[in-house]
Amino acid sequence: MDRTALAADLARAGYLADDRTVLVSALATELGKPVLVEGPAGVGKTELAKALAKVTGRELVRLQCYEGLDEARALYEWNYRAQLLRIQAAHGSDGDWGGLRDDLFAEEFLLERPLLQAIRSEQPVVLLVDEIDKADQEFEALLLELLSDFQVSIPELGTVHAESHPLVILTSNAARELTEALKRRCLFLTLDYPSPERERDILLEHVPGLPDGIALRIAEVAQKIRDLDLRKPPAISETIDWAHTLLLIGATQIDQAVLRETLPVVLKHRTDLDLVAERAGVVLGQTASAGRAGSR
Amino acid sequence: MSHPGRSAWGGSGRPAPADAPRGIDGLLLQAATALRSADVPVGSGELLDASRALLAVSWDDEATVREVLASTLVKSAEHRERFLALWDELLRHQVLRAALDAQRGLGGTGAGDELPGEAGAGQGDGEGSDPTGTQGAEGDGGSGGEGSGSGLDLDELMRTVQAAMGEGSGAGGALMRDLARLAIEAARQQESGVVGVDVQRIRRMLGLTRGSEGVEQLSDEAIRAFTELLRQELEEQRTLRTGDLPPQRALAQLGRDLSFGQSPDEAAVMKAIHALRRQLAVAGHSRRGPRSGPIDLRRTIRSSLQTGGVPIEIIPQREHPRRPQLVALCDVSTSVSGSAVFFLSVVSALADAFSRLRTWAFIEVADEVTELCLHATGPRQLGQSITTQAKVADHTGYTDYGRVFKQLAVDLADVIDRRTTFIVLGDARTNGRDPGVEAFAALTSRAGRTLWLNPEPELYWNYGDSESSTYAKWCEMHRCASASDLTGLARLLAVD
Repeated sequence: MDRTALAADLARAGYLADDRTVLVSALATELGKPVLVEGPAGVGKTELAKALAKVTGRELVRLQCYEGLDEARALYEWNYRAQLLRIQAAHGSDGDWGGLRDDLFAEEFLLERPLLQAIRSEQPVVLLVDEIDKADQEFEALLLELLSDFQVSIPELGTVHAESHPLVILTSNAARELTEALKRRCLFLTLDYPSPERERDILLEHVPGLPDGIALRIAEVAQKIRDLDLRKPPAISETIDWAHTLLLIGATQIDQAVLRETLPVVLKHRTDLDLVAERAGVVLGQTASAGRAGSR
Repeated sequence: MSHPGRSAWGGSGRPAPADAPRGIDGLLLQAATALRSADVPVGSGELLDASRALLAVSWDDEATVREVLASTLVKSAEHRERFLALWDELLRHQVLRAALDAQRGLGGTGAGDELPGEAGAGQGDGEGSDPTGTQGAEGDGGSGGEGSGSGLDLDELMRTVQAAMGEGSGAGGALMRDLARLAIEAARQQESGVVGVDVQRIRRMLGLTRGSEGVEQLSDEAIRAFTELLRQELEEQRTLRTGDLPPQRALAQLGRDLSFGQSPDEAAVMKAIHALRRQLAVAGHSRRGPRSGPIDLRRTIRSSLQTGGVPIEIIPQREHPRRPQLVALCDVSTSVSGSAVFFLSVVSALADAFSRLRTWAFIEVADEVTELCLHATGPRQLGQSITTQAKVADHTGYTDYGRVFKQLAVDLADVIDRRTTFIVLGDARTNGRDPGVEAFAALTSRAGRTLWLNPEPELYWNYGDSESSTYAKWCEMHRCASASDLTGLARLLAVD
C-alpha cells in the first residue's frame, strides 16, 4: 500500500488530501470496505469521490439521496412502456405464452439505476452515495445488502451478483444519525475545513494566476469568517469562487471595501452578510479599524 | 507530524512479524476496553476491521496506527474525539510497552515507570500540530497548566493518593481535595475538555482502575468518592476558566439540580419510550382502512404485466411517511422535576426519530438544547448536561411561562412555520405570573399544529396557579405522565 503515491495521484487529480484522508482511501481500496465521509457542507466530500475515480481510472456512478428516494430510483425499474409495446406486438402473432413471458422480463426491459449499475459494471467503478443522511432509514436497509454482500435481489430475475466490486463512498452532513448497522459496515472519515496553508494550496491549484500572498490571505480571512457563528460558513468551493472574483477585479489586497463588495460571493445569507460586515475588523485582523467597522 | 515520542516508537523498529499479531491483539483489546468504558460502542466487527487494517499498514508511524484505529473503531465525530482523548494517555503506553517488550524481551515494569512523564511532556507539542478537532477544547487548559505537568512526580503522587485513600481520610477532607487538584494539574496537558473522559484518564494515571496493582487494598467507596471529587474540581475549574459567566445561568449554578429517580415507574417508562421509538421510526407508514387516493400508474402496470397487461390489482400511490418538523419546548423547572426524566426521555426518543427536531428547555428563559440532545446518550445524561450547560434561569429559578413565550415569539419567528408541529412539555403552572397568552397564541397560529403534554391529571388543570385551560384554548392539550400515556403519543404525532 503506497500512500505517498496515492497522495501524489490525488494531488494530480486536483485534490489535495491530508494524511488521514489518504490513509482511509488507501485502506478502503485495500480492505474493500465502503467509506463513510462525514463533515460540514463544502469541505470536499464529494470531490474526494470524484478524485478517487480519476486516480483509479474508474467510472464514477453517483446516487444523490433525498427524502423519499426509493428502490425504483436507486436500484432498478422495469421499463413498463416497452413491456406494454412488447405485449401489443405479440397480439397479432400467435407466439407462445411462455416465450412471451420470458421476453417480458428480459434484461432488455430492465432499467438500471445507479446502485445496480455500479455492481453490474464489468469494470469496477467508484460508487458515490451522496448525502445519505437525507434519505429515509428504509433506504439504508436497502443499501445494507448491497454494501455487505454486493448483491441485490430482483423478484422477477433472482439475485444479481456483483460483476466487480465498486469502491463505495458515502457522504453525510450528519443531519441525522445513521443506523448502527450501516455505520458498522463502513470505515469512518471526518473531513473538516482545511488549515489556511492547505486551503492556500487548494486555491493555487484551482485558480491559475493567483498570487501566492493573496491566496494565503484569502484562506486566513476565510478561516476567521468560519470562526464566526454563521448560518452557513463558506465552503471551499466558495473561497475558490472568491479567489476568482478577486483575481478578476484585480484586487491586490483584501481591505474593508473589497471585502464588502465581494462578500456575497462567499456568503449567501442576509444575516451572515450583516454579521461579517459588522465584524469586518475582526475578520481582517485589523484591530485599529474594528471600531470604524462597527459603526457602519 | 512529528512526535517526540517517536524515537521510542519507531526506534525499536517494527515488532518482529511473528510478534506482530500478538501486539495487535493486545492493542485492540486495550482500545476496545478503554473506548467501551468511555461509552463508545465498539463491536467485534469493528475490531476485525481494525486488525485487518493494521496488518495492511506499517507500524513505524504512530499517527498512522492512531488514524487506522480511529477510522475503523469509531463511527462518529464525537466518538472520534473521545478516542483521541484516550489515545495519548492509555493506548500509546500500551503499544509502546508492547514494542519495547518485544525488543528487550523484558517484563513491562521498567519501561512503564519511566514512560508517563516523558510521554506527558511530549504530547504538548504533538497535539499542537494535531490537525484534528481537539484543539479548541484544549486551548485554555494548556495555558493554565504551563510547566506544572512535567514538574510533578507522578509516581509519588500516585503513592500519596493511594496512601491517603488507604488511611481512610474523609473523602470531603481538604487533603483529598488538594490531591485531586494536584492530579488534575499533573494531567493538565492531556486535558480533553470533556469532564468524564478526563476523570477516567486521571484515574487510570493514578492506577485507580480495577486491576491496577495496589488498588485491591482500597475500598470501592474511597475510589468512588475520590472520582467524584475529581469530577467536581474539573467542572468547577472549567466554569472558572470559561471566565465571564453569561447573564443567563445554568441551573446547577443556582444550587439546584434536575432531580431524577422520583418517578417510581421508571423502568416502565423506559419500556414505553423504547416502544415509542420503534413506533415513531415507522410512523406514517401504517395503512388505515381501505386504500384510496391516486393510482400509482407505474406500479399498477408493472404488476399488470404478470397478467398479460390486464390490470387486476390497482396499486395506489405510496403515502410518503409524514415527517413533520418538530419544535419541542421542555419545562425543566423544579415543579415538574418528577417528570423531568420522563420529558427528557420523550425528547430524546423524538430526537432519534425526527431529524428535524429542535429543542428548547426553559424555566425563566428558554435556551436551545438541540445540540445537547444530539450528544446525550440517554435522558439522564441529557438532564445532566441541561443542568450544567443550558442557560435556562437568570433570576429566581422559578418558571415564568409568560416571559418564555414572549421571548420565543421573537426568537422562533423564523423557526416555526406551517409545517411545524410545536410541542410544549410542561405543567402550565405560572407561579402567579403573567401567562403571556397573546404571545402563546401568536406562536400557535404560526405553527401548523400545537401539542401540549401536561404531566398533571386533568382534574388539577385549573387549580392553583395552573393556567392549563387558558392555554388549552390555543392548542391540543393532553395528559402525558406515565408509560401508558405514551402509547397514544406516537399516533398523535403521526396522524394528521
